[in-house]
Amino acid sequence: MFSKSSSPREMTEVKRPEVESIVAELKAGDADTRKMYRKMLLEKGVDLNVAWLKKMMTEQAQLSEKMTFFWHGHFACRDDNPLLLQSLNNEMRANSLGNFKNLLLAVAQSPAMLKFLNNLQNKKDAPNENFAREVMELFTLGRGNYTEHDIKEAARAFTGWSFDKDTLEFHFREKQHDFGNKEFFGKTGNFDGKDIIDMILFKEECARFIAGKIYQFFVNDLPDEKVIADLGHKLYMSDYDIGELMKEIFLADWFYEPKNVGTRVKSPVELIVNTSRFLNAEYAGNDALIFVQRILGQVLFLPPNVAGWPNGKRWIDSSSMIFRMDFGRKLVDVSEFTQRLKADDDTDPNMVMLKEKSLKKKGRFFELDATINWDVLSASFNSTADVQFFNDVSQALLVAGKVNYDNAGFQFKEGEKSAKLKALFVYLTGRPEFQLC
Amino acid sequence: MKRKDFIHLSALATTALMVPDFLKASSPFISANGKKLVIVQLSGGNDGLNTIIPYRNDIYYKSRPTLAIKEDKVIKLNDDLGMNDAMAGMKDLFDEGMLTIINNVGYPNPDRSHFRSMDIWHSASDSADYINTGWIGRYLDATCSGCSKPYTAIEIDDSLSLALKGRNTNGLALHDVNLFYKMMKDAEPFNKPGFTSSNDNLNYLYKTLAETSSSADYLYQKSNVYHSKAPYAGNALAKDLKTIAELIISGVDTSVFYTSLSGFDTHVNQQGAQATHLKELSEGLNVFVQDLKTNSRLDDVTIFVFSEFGRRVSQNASNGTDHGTANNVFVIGSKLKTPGIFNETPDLTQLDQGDLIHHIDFRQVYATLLNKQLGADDELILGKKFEQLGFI
Repeated sequence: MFSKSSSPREMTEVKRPEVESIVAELKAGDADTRKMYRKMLLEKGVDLNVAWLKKMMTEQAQLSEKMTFFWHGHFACRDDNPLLLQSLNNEMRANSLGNFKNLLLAVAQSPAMLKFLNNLQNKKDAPNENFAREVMELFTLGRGNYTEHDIKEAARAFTGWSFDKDTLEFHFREKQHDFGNKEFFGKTGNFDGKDIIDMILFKEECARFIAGKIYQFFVNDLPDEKVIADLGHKLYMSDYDIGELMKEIFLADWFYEPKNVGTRVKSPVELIVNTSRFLNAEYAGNDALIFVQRILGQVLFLPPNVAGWPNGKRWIDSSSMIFRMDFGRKLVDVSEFTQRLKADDDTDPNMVMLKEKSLKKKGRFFELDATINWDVLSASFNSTADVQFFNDVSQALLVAGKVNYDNAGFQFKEGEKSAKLKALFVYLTGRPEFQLC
Repeated sequence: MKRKDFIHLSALATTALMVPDFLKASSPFISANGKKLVIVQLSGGNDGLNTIIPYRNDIYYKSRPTLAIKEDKVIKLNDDLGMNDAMAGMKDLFDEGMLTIINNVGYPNPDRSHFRSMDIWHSASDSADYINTGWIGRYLDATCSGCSKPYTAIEIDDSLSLALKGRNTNGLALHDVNLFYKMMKDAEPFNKPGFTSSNDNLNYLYKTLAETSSSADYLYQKSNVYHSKAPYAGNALAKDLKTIAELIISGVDTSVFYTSLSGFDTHVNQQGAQATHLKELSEGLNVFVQDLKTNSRLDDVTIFVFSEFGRRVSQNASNGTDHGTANNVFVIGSKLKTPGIFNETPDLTQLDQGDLIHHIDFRQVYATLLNKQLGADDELILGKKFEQLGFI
């Protein structure tokens, strides 16, 4: 089902020499110089964000991109160096449908994650437990499957896991590693980090935890414990083959049952990508795309914390609902959003830039500068009769709560087919059903 | 099941179906008591030591050779502490017995990252926990499940902060009632109150839409009653406070208002920038309090001002300060039990790696506000019992 012969196209937006020269200046310069270079680094972060968003909109290998997006939320990580984030992202993509053990090891040994979870401070004489705790709580087992003692001992095993500042490759700092015996999951031995990861994966709870998260992301917010236990067992028996798990899910009858279709709330990134893919939209400029992510609460590479984004209903409140229902209209009209970004700019590096830029803009508001070829798009729907046209387009846009022309209460206006499509697009994307996938 | 387990983030335990029964079973019917809480968030980490200044302390002056506020400029409050000279507006409130300053507020294992520390203040979680609901949101959940309206808690902004997101109920974010009403009109054709289907999330979307629509109608009709003539300045915070005053004085049935002021991340050339913001805050709150007082609404209102962390005791090499830990918070109102300075001044001789050590957990402040101001079950909302402070 999934060809494993060709590896997915990786992200190359952020160029290493550029970032390295910025980082060098950041270290050397005075306060004003540092400020300038910090801003340049932030610009690179924005470039990376938008490059991935656009890749999601256009990439042929959609599943590996979607899986990468899933892992991006699962292995949530932040860093001010976009180069490190890009390479972590590429590791996730390369392993997105591969073996979970390889993926976990690649993530756990990535400079970005080692930094984010304070493992650079995890040393023999002064262990830092953050990394060990989150690896078990959020990445593999979930609460209740380990003790505080296990965390302490695992932290000792991960001491010395670091990276080389020049090569940006994982580096084991022997001098900082605790070579003493550790007691982990009731066993005693001179375990290192890889041993700990093996022992975690040996627990079937890990496979079940991963299967549960994938189920909730791809199938239904509401977990079906029986199905998840079965998927977890299969994942375990396949020695953590993620591709096999996805095949299992996509070929299962229950995947296509009505109760599992059109029930998930699109996350903000899914909403943007899904809408843009339908329209084949091309965007000029980065700001408005960041703005939409920001106002709806999901900015790529900026998860709220190591637990990732809370999904499902959590995306929806009064203001996000109004914004979401108006999103299609904004794309069609190419008109300004009336919302302003949040005042807590300092909490988010991207925000500082947007605020400065928005002040320079006359209108103070953002607009999506999207190029959409409505003639081509409308011609791709063969039907000429209004009723059939309505049904074809609504079938293409809505997954939940199918509507049909007779009871929708929608009136076509006279005019070109492209004008009809625009009106219909605004109508359908304005429906609450459009928020589900 | 323990409350802590229930609210703790667990990917497999996010089933929304189990929640309402739990809340119904253990939460008393709490109706809004007519009292109001106004929360002002200072984003970026306000430097508490240059806000409330230990002007007799040598360590303070030695730690901040170019940044310390000179003793003759400090607005004295008592023999130890004084205010930044930009805060004359708040000194008035202090003199009238309408301000309580609580020192050394923070939490164990402090996080120096803006986003994470703000996350902790919003969700009222422990430093090592991740909770995806906010303390005001959970107040909404606990306030008679199903009967609190989105406008029970209003954030003056275009998007909703975590603090106002509950498990079942969210607050409402709006900048401008008229604009909110106008935008809702565009979505109105799709509003079908009472819509039900077998699709749980679709029901939730329609329910949100219906509630948003009725909230927009309610606020639009109610809020045009009173237009304030009080002398608010032109800055964003003053405008937000004016909006809040108008809603309160118009008699809108809202218990919590939330607004924020940013720009406190003063790593470089702190003094001018911080003074500007403190002046906006101080003057804004002064006018706001007078406005409520003139209209006989002040007795119902308590104002709470906080920031995600304070800053390090020593200044940095750029005439600024870096991220710190414990900080002061302000409580303002006409019904304070302990006006003035609530507790001991920060101890600059006892530092943890150059940072102040907290003595009061911020959730003790929350517990007091939830229980005494809003009449709510603080233990249920915060997940455990925090000793209340008795300032109101």
